[in-house]
Amino acid sequence: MALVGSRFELHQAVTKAEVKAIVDEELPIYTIHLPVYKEDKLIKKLIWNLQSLDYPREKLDIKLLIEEDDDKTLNAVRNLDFPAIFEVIVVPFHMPKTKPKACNYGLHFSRGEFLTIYDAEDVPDTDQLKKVVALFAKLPANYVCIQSALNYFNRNENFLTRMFTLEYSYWFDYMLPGLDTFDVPIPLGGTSNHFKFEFLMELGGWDPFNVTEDADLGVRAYAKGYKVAIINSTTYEEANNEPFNWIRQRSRWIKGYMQSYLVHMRNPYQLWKKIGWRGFLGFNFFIGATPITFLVYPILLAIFLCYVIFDLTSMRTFFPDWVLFMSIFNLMVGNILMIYINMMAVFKRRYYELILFAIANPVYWLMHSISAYKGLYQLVVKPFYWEKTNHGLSKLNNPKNVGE
Amino acid sequence: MKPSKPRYLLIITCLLAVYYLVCGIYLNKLGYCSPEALFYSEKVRIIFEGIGYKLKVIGLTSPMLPFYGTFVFTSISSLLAPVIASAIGTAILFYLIATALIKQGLDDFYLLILLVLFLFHPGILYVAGSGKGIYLTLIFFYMFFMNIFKYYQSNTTFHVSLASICLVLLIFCDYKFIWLTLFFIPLVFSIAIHSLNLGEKESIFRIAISFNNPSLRRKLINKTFAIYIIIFILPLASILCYKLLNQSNANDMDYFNESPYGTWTVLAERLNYELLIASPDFKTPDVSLLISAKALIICPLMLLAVFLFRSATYQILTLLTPFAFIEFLHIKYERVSLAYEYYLIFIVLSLLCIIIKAPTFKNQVVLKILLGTIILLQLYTGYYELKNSPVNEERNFLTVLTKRNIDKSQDENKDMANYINGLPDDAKVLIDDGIAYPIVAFTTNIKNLTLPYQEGFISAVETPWGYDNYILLSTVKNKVGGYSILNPGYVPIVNNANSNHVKKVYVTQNWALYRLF
Repeated sequence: MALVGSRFELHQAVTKAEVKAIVDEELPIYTIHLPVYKEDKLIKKLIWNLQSLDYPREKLDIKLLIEEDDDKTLNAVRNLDFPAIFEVIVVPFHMPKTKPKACNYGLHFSRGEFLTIYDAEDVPDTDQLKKVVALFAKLPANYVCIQSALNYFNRNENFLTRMFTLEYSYWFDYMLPGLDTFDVPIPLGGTSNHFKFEFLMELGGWDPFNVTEDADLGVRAYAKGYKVAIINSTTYEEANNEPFNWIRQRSRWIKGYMQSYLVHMRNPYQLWKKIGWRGFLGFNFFIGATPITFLVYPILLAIFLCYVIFDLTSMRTFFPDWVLFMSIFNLMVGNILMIYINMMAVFKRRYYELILFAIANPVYWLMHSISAYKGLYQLVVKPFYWEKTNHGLSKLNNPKNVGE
Repeated sequence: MKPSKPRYLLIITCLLAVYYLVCGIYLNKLGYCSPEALFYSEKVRIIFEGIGYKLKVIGLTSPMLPFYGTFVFTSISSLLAPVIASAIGTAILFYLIATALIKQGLDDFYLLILLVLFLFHPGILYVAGSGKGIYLTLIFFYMFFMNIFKYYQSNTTFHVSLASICLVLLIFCDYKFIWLTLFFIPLVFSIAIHSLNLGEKESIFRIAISFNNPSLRRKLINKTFAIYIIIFILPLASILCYKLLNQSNANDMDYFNESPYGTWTVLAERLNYELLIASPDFKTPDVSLLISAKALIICPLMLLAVFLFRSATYQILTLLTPFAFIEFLHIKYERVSLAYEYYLIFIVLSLLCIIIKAPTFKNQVVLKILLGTIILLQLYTGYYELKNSPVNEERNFLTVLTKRNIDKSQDENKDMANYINGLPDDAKVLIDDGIAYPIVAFTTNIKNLTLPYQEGFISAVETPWGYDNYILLSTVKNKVGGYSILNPGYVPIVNNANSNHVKKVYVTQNWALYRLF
């Protein structure tokens, strides 16, 4: 799948010449949702980042979505002299207090033909919106969403940011194009997914109770016969550089995958009828199996290590030789392939200094497992709780770092 | 409706496969069987017909991919399966090269030249008709270099990772290709130097600039290291994994490469060396540089390839790596004559170079005349070198192919197998297939044999009368008898250990079958 996805780099979805050929006067109105919560420190940077977008100012419709109880951000906004294209929308206090709920509220005020979402710390490629418009014009009408690649501007900050960069490079540069080629439902990324507004409304917006609303929306769009494309443009985000913050964020994502899986698999037969066998298998492998893998990984690893270190011969009673042979083969080949794909991904991005860090993936996966257990616990006790990720922790806030 | 070019190509490939099949099966009927093909046949029969713990045979028989390649055709005939696999595999190699040729927009003359080569070159016929796994080596060697060349053009991770995967597959076709990685070190450095964004064009000055600037130096080191890792970590890690599997299942990391139970090459190379030094017209082995010269004699097309790439530094370096590789093999395995397979790699490599470069050559008429002449010369040199090959089996193939004489080299093994086939249905025979795999391959009922893959083999060797009625031992004349415990020295041991005694019931030059009383 990753190898098929890597073919994506052989041709550019939108070339520079195509972007250059766009006539500004013919561009449609573009809505940008900026859901923020307690991001008072980042608000200036956010405005700065969006001002550098190469898109006619008068055709941008930027909605700053602020929760009613978020006094800090509201006060910070009041002190700023906004350009006219920014509109502050106060989202009324109502449960669940989630990002998708805020975005759904923002839909009522949106005017654009296309709509996208950026997070507070996002630095999109300056020509991203124009590229999206050009690609939508080239694609058939049933393509309703375009996903940009996500990556990190603070990748060299510490071990965690390096590992996060490896992971995102692999996921957005190889796996998503691979899923796209195989026509499998694409779990959309958290930001930088660009929608055709009317189709987004037809899909009913986002599920406000789902904490990975974009992954869920990807499946719902697929079920309606709509398609998602991947574009050769990147949005640079701030990689989580603090372990506990990272675990909080990851536990939300994994909990969201669990939620999406449970919701869509209420009636597996119906789902299979709706999305076909290819979609069904893809959904089970990439949404369902992800949390399960992280949950069982430490258990299996512990059993294996005990078997190797303490020479548990009694294990052979339960597992015959051929099972052990296959298991060791799978363990080694699976790990090596995953590490290799990560290496390929950063090689493609020319982040050569990160290549060797791919070897540390088995350790990094253990952090996923911790998050998975936290997510599972929360799924039981607080299923709709939005575990907030703190942004602005990076010391590298300068967008000049991007693309170095 | 006129068929399209790809359809023509498919038809030609199918006809070529039939041609190879006819050649291979005919040679097989004349009695020609390569030790490699017999080894695969025997192992495949163990897997499908044997009783006992077969996991080691399935997982650790080497070279792995050619062995698995024969699986598909086992249902037709276990003895013919390797021949069918090699015939079809060689036709696939033709298809791959021809497809690339058409994609490059080269005209039918080039296709004709390619077809002539695949129809008449003795080396290619050897690949297709011998039942050996060389066809897979050539396929993956071709694909590896094709992707490397594509990487030079596109500079994309996709091609470099495909090259890496092809290298893994190549190594699992022939372990010796692991040494190819050594000779890519300077090449990778050269690629990294050329990919730096510098105004200077001359390599030596680019190196000087890069080393004197700390930032460029860091970039150069990072990039060199990264390319090397991307190309070679996968093969090296795969081999490490495979060695660990060997260690965990056979208590020997190099079981697949050094045990006669794991691979056919151990005995074949030893036997060839014995025959070579015992031969009355024994010739001294080739001197180092003559190996490269011999490669150029077998494949003069390589000179044309080098000429076409004369202005591209790292393409030339790429073409030199296989030369360094065969020279290294000659030094490392000094007792092993370099097999014809290692010269054949130059044929596919030169074809690849011509496919890449021919469309850009201005004077097509001159190129075609040159190509036609060289191909005709190559057919002759290929024949000449195969005829005078130091490897007995290769000479034998050409003799059977050209003279169509009955090949008697396996008659002795067939005789012994026939005798075993004629034993009563309940008779059990103790055989060590480490050296007697050709006999096992020719027997009809493998279930009546006690073989080393079975858990009871060691017990059967210690107390044979409790398990078997017959024992197959090598005679003193058997040149590889020392590799098995079931050699002539075994009879007195059994006689001393027990009042029971053994009696010789059937003898050939290399084998003796004893009955236990």
